[in-house]
Amino acid sequence: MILFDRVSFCYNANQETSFYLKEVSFSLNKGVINGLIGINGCGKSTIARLIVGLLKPTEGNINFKNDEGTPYYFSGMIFQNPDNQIVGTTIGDDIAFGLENLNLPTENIEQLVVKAASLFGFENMLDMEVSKLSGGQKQMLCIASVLALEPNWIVFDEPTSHLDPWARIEFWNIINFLVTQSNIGIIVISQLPEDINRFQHITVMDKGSICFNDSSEKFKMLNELPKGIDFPEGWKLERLLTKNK
Amino acid sequence: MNQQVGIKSVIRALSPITKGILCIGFILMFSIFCKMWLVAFNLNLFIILLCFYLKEDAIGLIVSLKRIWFLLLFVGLFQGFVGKSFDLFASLNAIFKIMGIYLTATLYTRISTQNELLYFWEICFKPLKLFGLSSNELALTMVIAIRFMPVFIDEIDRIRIAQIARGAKLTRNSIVSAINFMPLLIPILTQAIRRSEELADAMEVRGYVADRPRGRYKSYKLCGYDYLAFLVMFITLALLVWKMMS
Repeated sequence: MILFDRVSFCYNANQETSFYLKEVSFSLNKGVINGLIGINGCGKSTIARLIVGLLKPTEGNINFKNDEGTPYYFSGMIFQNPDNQIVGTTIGDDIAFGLENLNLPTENIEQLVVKAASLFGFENMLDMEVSKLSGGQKQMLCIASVLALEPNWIVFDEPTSHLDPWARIEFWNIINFLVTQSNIGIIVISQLPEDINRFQHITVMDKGSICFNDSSEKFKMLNELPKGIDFPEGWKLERLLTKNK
Repeated sequence: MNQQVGIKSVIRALSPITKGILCIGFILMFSIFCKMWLVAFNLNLFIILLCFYLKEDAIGLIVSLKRIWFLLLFVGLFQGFVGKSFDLFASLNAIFKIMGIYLTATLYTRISTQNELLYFWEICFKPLKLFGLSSNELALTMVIAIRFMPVFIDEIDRIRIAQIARGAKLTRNSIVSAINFMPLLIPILTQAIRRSEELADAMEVRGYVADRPRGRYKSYKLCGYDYLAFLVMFITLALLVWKMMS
């Protein structure tokens, strides 16, 4: 479980207009798809960066409870554009990058690379150039590269925005697999209504504060939606039918 | 850079140290020991014939020379007109030297994987530790620059096409269009900075800390072909020095 305990963060304390995360407290659990939504500039990516340790809170604590962390790595992050996060020229090189950073022996790196690659059908393509992969495959490679490090939590920052509809279906199949078959906590940041449909727990942010943090069932029941958030079409229809009954 | 990975050949199986030393050796041969155009021409021929023999893309390598045709022409003319009258042999010598350095460097990046480049450059940069510079950081920066070359070419092309669609006169093959390209520099630079920020974050999230020891995905050892390659280079170098002395 991730527990934010009165966490505040400011990019530039000397500047009045600087973004400010105000005493945010909430918790996220494993075993469900956690969705983090909100309009642009509301602080979603700041929360993600705080979780993975790219930023440090100016006040408050972030606690990871009941997580048996791997000895070397804790949480990973997948960014919006796969092209901007692939470091290696080949599939094998890219999956190995994180493992090399952990200074593991060559034999271990080789084994973990093959293990992570085989989850996505890349095991016979380790020498293939990254530039020859499709957008969806590149996103899968990014996930494989993070999974190779065996993290406890993975944060996905708007992961479907660069994918075509078929790659999106494939992506969500992988997420469902990770949630049900592994012990990895999943947090997905997205603004797309079709993605909201997939979340099982929803956290809504507005101007640096949390304005909703509960199950998707309770989110569905909300009469007034936070600014800039829209229900998926299916949910709208469902509500309309219930109302007319 | 046209890196071609996944192809198997004798030259690709060489250790990264051998490949790197051969590359530096040939570049030194072209720049220091080639005093006659015929020698420089023969060395170029040797590289191309070696590519044919080892079933590397020799035609592609020759075609890639068109990228530096202007440099070759400029150097040739400049060198030719150094004396009182035009010296054809000096001009040819300069052209073949530049050509040889370009072919060697292109072939080296084609036959080396990213990990191999990183391995060799890290070794090369190790003495810089005396000045407080991290060899791994420098080598990784160079390798990432190579990795992002195709991404930037795509990016430039995308912005170029977007500008043409909006009425800009940008063609690839005119010097005037090079001036017209100037306004594209700002969006390209902005994109590059944005990309580099995201890449830095992605690297950090995957555990990269500058100057911390890193493991290796692949280990490299010298084999029989490596010693043979060193022998070929040594003989070539000896012949050149002998030719220069005589």
